Amino acid sequence: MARYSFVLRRLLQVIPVLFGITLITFFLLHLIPGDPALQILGSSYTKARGDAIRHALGLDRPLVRQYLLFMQHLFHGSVGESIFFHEPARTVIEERLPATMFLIGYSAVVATLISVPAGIISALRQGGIFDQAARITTLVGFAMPGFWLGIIFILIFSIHLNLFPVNGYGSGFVGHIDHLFLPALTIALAFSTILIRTLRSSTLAVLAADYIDTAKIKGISRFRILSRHVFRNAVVSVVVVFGINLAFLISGTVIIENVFSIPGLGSLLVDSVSTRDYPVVQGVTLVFAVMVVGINLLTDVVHAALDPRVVLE
Amino acid sequence: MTAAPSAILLDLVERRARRRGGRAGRHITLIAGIAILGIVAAASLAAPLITHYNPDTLDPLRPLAPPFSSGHILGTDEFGRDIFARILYGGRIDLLIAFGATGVTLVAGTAIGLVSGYFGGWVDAVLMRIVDLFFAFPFFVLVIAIVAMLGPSIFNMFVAIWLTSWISYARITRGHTIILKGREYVLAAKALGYRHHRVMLRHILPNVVSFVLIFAMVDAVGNVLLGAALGFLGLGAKPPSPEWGAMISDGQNYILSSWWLSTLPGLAIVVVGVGFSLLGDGLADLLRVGD
Amino acid sequence: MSNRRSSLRSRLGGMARGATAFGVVALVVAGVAAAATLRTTHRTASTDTFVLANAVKIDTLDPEQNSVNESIWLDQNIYSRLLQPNATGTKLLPDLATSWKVSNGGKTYTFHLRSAKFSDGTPLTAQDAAYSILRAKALKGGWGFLLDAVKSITATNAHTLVIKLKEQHAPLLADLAMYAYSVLPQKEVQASPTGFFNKPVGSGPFMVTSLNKDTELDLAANPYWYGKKPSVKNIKVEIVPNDNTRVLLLQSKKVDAIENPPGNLINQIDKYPGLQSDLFPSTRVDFIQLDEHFAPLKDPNVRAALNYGIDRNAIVKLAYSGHATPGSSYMPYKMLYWNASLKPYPYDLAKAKAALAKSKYPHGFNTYLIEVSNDVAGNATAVVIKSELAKLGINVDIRTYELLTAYSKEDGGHSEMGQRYWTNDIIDPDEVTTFAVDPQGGANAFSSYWSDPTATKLVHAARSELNPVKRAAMYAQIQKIVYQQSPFLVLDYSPYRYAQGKWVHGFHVNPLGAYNLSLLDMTVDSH
Repeated sequence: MARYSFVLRRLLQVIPVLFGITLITFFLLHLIPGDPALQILGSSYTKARGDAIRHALGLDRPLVRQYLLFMQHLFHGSVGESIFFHEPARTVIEERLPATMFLIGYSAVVATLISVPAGIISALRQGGIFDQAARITTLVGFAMPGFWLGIIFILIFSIHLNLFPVNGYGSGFVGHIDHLFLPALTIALAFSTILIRTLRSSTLAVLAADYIDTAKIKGISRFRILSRHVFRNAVVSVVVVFGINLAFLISGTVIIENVFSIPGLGSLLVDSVSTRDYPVVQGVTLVFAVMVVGINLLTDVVHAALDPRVVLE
Repeated sequence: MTAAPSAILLDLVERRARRRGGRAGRHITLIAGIAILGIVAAASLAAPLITHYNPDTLDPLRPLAPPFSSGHILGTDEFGRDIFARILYGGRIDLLIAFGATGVTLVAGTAIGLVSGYFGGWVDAVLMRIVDLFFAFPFFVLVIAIVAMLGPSIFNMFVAIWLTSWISYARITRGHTIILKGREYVLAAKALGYRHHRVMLRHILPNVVSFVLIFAMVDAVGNVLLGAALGFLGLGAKPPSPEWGAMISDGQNYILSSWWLSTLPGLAIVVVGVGFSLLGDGLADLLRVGD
Repeated sequence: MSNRRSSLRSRLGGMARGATAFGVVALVVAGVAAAATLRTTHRTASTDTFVLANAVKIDTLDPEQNSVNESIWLDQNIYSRLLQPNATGTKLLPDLATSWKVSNGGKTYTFHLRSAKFSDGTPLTAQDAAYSILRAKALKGGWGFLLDAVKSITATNAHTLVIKLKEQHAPLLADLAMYAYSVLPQKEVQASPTGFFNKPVGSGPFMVTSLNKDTELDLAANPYWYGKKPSVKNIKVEIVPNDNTRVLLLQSKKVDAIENPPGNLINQIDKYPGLQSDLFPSTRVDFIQLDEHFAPLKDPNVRAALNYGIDRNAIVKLAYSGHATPGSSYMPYKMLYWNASLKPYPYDLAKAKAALAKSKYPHGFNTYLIEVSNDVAGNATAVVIKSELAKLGINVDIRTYELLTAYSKEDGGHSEMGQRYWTNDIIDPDEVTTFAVDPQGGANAFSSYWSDPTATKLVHAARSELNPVKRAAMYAQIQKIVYQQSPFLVLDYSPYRYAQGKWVHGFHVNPLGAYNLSLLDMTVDSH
């Protein structure tokens, strides 16, 4: 268990990271030109109306004072009221969180189901038709942007074949599985590219090593050892690749969320920056940060658990 | 931090690699990759020789012409601009993004990962917390901020990519470095008194490079696609730039009526993607063990 | 060696094949199971439900706070106002106020309210009206400035509302018809100021049965509605941000109507069996802002050159696929007192060059044009303008910014050319004229910082002139002055784009964007 003592140390180190993120986000947001008053008033903007709104929102106070106020609220568990929705930013975020989590988890599962067999077969039949086909297919799935792929999927599977709903998040677990299948598939295809190649590469390494040491290893049990290696590689690869890409994934789902009308955090974040809804941006950024740092830590723990030679600090 | 087989197996793999020389036939993927990328690069550089159309010339009389019509091989876009010409000229920009943006992040990220994994201790802790900071900071907020402040342009896209993509390389490199630094030959090298940078560069880096390159090949294509994603959000390359990603996102409203606007530049990206992937596999095979 | 290698491989292969089989089967099963058994049957299209797909999520259902147009239009199905615009946006109709008397030299308005009830059965009184209007008027930075001339609003009894003005104010009735001045139940709003708007109660034809701001709003017919009973009993508004997805939903008949289909798909939709596109005249005016602080743009000869040097027909064709009208007057197309005798500047390169030759910049100059990213029509317009002005030697650098950044750079007096648009909030010309012409209007004449003393005098006079004939003449004159001096370049009037199934009858959007009146007459056939 001493190996895992780093967990506690990392958790402590998380605090300055989160603090740094709120600080950077806050000042970065206010550096961006434009403010909520412009969004609220649109084409009937006048300086008088804009000033009145800015004053009502407390945006004409000195920046440092605004930041301190924000931190004060944060310690009481609130990030403020959404300027766009006129309700607590926390509520807005909580309503969107489940959809994003479900979508990401679902994408990970689908990606695994696609990549693990494909990667292993590609390695076994290295250079064969399946290998090449897998490479091309995933490359197309990766290289064609999400909104293109998404629309094509909707056209084929939702409209022509009427197999899946066109859009939305659905209700109930079963409804979510139904509604999110196509979006999850779209995301999973992009990830399968890197996953399949990673699995293929490490499986090849295993096979090559095995070939070398055939003379030294005897008995049927070596299959179990090797297959355990292969599958261990597989699990670690999937977890690690997803872990590395999680931050991009969360905010990258914004396009998928748009195409499939899924009310998730990605589109909430982008929309909120566009409307300068400062409290919501702060809140979502913080939620992201916690998720990402958490997954980071989890990835390292999983890696340590599966690979005894990894030395963690 | 990708999968690593047990220590014995990897050591044997490496010994095997040193025993075998390279064989020309094995390098077919490498050659194919280089060939594809070379052709794309040459075509885009030689664009004025290949097509007489200018990528920016409007032709209001012939908007949305389908491929193989009105003298336009790949058709025209909503302004009547020739798509083939735009793809060729756009190749310059996109190859620049693929190599330039990726190259910098690859070198910087790998270096940081090497240092972090090798030295460990507080160096590692500080560097990794900085990684966490960049990692946990939502990419799109950063991009929107950069673009909103500085305006959209290819260079600003570079800045956004540089600031965020290096962390993947850092983490991959660090992960492998941590595993490798416990190996006999590394320990031996240190015991022999080799300086740190020599150990890092000569002993650890070569074993890490193949994993980094695999990722880099996908990352290169991803960076090009980022242009499309940014364009989708309205943060992409400045119009009327024929950057492929911008073309794809500009064409999104026409997917249902004039599919070629988005699909053809998308195919261009696929071709470049295939090139990079073959290149990556070829390099990985070269550096690892053939069979 | 090779035997063992292949046997090893085959065993591993066997394992992997097994894994593959499992994986593939699992995937297929998941997919098919989801499709076949989990999927609820296709929603039976019922003739008493109208399903509309909107492009933008709902910000709030509080009429004083709305900043999103689509939400404003939804408000108008839920609440009523004292008066409301008619279907063409040129007249006012009674709503809650069945009649009104103007006295005291135009400074006192006495409204008689009908006996109406809110959707929860509570009676609507004049006090609710007074409360609601005063509440919206008091909101900092809100629409109170429209009612600056109002001295007091009082409910003298349950059905009489008296409004006293400081001076004559011609637009008053139009102001009161504005969405922000919807009537809310005072007691309930005061009891729960934010919670009320999650399940609001209004006196309009429909009431809210469920609200999810990101995905869907469900409305049902208000049992206490005082007007014509709609044949459509339920309204479902789905939020579908992606343009293509909306079109696909309509094509597959999963929705009855969609807002804002991409302009280039209009012709395709019309050719699709069972569908039609709708282009409803709107109050939108697209124009190019010209900041006079940039010296060349201060010169009327330069502005004339720009007017003749831009081909509005090309813009309509390339940016709107032909579905727009070249612009002439700064006032929205055919609105009240619109000057129909003004014609759009024709494209005349010779005239443009001649005008430029008379200016201080006969060989052209360098400038930039701010445009908004993601605005398809706007981007196309900018490209056309750039290429056309280049023929005059005017080099336009297109600077693209995301929306609010663009706005912030266009305001403040430090810009050059910029893309802007205007839409009316009231049917009275005073609002747009205040923003476009009045130097004291707060918008600096659409950020051009231009002013003309004659025009300014006319604007103030027209604001308090109650005689409609005299008012019309004043606005005609103002429009002519603005047309001749062109402090900004009016490009085009673009309609609201909707698409619907032919099985829907009676759907109509008025120039202010509201469709609440049409819902009363709408019928939906089975489809």
